[in-house]
Amino acid sequence: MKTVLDYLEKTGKEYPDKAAFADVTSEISFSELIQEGRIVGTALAKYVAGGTVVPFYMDKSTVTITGFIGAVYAGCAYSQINLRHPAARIAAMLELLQSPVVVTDREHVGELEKITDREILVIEDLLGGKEDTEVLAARRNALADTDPLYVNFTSGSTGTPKGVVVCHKNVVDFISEFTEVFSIRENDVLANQAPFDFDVSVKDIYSGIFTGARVEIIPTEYFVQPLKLGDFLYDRDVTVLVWAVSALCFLTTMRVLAYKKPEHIRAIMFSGEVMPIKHLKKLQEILPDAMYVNLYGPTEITCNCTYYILDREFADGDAMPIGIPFRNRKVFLLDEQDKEVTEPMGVGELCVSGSCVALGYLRNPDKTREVFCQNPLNDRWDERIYRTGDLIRINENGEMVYFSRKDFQIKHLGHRIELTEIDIALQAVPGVDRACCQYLHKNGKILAFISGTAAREEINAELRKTLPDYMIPNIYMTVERMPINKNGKIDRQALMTLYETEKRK
Amino acid sequence: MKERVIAVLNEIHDDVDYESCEALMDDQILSSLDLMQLIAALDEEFSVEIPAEEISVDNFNSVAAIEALVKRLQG
Repeated sequence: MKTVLDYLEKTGKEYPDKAAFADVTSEISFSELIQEGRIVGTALAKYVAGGTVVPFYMDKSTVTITGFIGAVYAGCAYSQINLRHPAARIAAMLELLQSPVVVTDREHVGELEKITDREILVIEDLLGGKEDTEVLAARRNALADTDPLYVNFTSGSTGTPKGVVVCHKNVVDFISEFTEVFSIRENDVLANQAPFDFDVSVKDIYSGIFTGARVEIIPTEYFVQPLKLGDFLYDRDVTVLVWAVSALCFLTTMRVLAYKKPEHIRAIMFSGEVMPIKHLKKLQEILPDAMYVNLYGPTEITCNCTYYILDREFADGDAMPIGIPFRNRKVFLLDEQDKEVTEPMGVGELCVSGSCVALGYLRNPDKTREVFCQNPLNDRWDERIYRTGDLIRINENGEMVYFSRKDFQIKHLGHRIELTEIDIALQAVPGVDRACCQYLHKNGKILAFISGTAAREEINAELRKTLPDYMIPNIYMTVERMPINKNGKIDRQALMTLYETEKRK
Repeated sequence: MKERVIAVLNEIHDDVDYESCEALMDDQILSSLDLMQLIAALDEEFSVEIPAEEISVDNFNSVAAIEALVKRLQG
């Protein structure tokens, strides 16, 4: 049991006819998923060598899952491309992936043709072929669990997105433990909220594949239609939610659970940002018996490295602990001198080692070596760790609590964003001289300071060509000249003082 | 009340011409996350609890529609 295919086939033997994945219009059983995955894999093998990272340009659905599994049967990895990203950003991702082909569905062929001149394969056509056992066996024999399974993109400080490469071993290590700790079984139903280009979805997809649980894929547009979302959760007997914090806040703000109470929900797990206690309490009022879990961890260590099962009440403003490590991963804090921090009230950068540490950033050895590096506490043998950049504090009870970032990365609307990436995009706009973004943590807004002559409507129109919606600044402030500190860098403190003064006027 | 609604909307994105726009939802000018912020902000500004049944594309497409919704809920 080394690759995710071994797990899929084991589950396929145990529950061949049970529904594996479902969306609003279709359903696929485990045996069908294997069969169709092998057909897609055979077809893909004609176009790409093993080890290629195949991009998928389509909405999330049961067919997309079949495509992913097909790529794996072809000895490849997959990468989901978000349809809502600007064309320039998608082009940059495809350039980084370097796959000779892009897979899409019939609906999106026209759109994709405008973005890329790579060969476009239509999933409906791939599904029309036949399985070739020999080809598949050859690809399978060449596959090791240290080979990539998927690539997920995150914001990069150099102005282009970074692709995190995650291998089979990473996912096998995490999902075996995740499904064990939270007792996910074949009778569970996971409601998939996260888009497939977010690694929160990895927990849904592989919890299903590893255990035989059913995964119900919620259409993205249901997150502006609370009644449809409420009906979906209720009608499909959902038992487990592994969601982004912002999506859970949607449930409470839109009063979805008050409209129809999905009584079967037994576990609600959240990650991505700090859960607001106010929203948590509203959830607990409606579903008091469910288990609530705070999950913590970045994509680079495969989903999560720690979990905290809520065991007490929190007051507004309390910081919720990030909990204890999942088995088989080592989690520790390092201070600025690379000494381990263990005492209460201490603060350090959270570092992780173990089988969960991803392969690094695609085609980016410099950035990879910077944060995937030797454990400075170990001078006896090679021990690769990932430095998260998250500063964690140990509270008076000895629990780890999220404190802040050590760089300019922020979490905004559930997305990891390098403020520097926005600065670079802003400075590329004609009429913008210098730009510096800051994050207002209190009200969750991106504040852009700019110097130059460009009008803000023009700036936003330009930015929308290169940046996704959630990276567009909310507030602008034009300054005559950027304040510079004694190191010759933009003085962020002076800018914030300027903003505060301006606001009080 | 119109001005107050526009003020609330400006807090979310201040580069939209809310006076003239009649397809805030249809044209995806407001995303799911924006809508969420808007509901919470209306709740705070006008002390109205907007029930799930009232959250439809039509009720949020324009300033006039939002105004009508708030008035209806205020009774």
